[in-house]
Amino acid sequence: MPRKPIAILAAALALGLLVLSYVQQRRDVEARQQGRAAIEQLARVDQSRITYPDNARPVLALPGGQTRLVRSLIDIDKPLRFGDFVWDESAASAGAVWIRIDLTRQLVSVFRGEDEIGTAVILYGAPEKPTPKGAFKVIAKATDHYSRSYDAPMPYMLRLTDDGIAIHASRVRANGATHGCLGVPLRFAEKLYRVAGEGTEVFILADPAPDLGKSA
Amino acid sequence: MNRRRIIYGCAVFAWLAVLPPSGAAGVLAEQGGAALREIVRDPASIFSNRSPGGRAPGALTQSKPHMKPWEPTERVLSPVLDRPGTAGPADAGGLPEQVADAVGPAAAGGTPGAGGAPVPLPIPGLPGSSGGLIPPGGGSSGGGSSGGGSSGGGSSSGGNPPPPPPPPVVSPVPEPATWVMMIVGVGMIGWQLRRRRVTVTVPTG
Repeated sequence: MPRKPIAILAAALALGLLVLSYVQQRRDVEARQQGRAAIEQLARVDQSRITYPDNARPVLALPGGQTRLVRSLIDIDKPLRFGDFVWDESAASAGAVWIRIDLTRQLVSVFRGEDEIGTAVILYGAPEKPTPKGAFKVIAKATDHYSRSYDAPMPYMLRLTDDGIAIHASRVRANGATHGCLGVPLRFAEKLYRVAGEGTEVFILADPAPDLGKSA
Repeated sequence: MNRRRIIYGCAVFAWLAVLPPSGAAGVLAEQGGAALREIVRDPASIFSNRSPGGRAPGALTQSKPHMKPWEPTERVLSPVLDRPGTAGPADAGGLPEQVADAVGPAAAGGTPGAGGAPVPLPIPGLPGSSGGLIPPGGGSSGGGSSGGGSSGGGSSSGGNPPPPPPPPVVSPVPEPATWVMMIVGVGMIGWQLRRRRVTVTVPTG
């Protein structure tokens, strides 16, 4: 029985099958890349913003039973560090400014209408002096507020409650906490102060179990 | 028989090579689009991605520097680098600086200059003490220093042998020369073994 031709035949067959599988895999990969590119093109207009298509806008549930539609969000593909903020009014449409504060994620998002125009890392109240949750409105604002209770400057203050809970500039650093106020970075506070005024809605919420992989 | 086995082997190989990757890729391509769509569109995941994470327990509310608890501080007022009492030798360790200074010549030289009698501690304020802080006997022998400070300790510890030199530091990584020597040695051993084996086989054949 001739062994060599059979071995050569088997080798050629194996080689052909390998080439075939390689071609199939390449085709799959190309199809997947094309699909992803199409989805990304659908999902975002520019690099720094995630824009949802008109027929698939998500709804944000807010305290007080309110809901808000979202058309675009600022795209940040990495975690913000303490003191970081992003401000982008390029896609700002008409509409009232409202503020969503997520205590669990330590984030503030400023919206104008359905577009997010700014986000930053915040400080919030310590466990013994917790920040109240719920729907609030800005009742007073001051650029150079000085707290007599805590003997501390609170620049760009937006007061939310009668007992003094406010959004103000603070030294935002890891593992810090406030006496119930919401601390934001100074330059972010300045920009926020410019767009927010008395009557601006502020929603403070704490997601019970967000999918956060780490704690800082 | 043999050919059939080879053909079966090839068939199994072909099945292993082609089917699972393409099948897995197809499933992934179908599910990946939907999963990606979900990830891109969910605002909660977007917020989670940009979040620095939840706050760890034990967060600090104290931020103002002047409200920190008071801590004792030390300030060196003179250019003396060693604190008195700590850098001195063991024999004068328990005594105050002035006393150690005054006793210094007696401890170092063994005999004070003129008197020869044991010197009483010249503690100032006691009625028996004569000279206060002046070294007894005009002592010019040892460490009766002029500037004060901690020179009494230096004089009394002068007779000690110098400390032994520290052991040489051996690097955990051998030098290149050591490597070369090791490689050459192992090579020579191998060469010898090989040569001996060859010479052993030759006479038997």
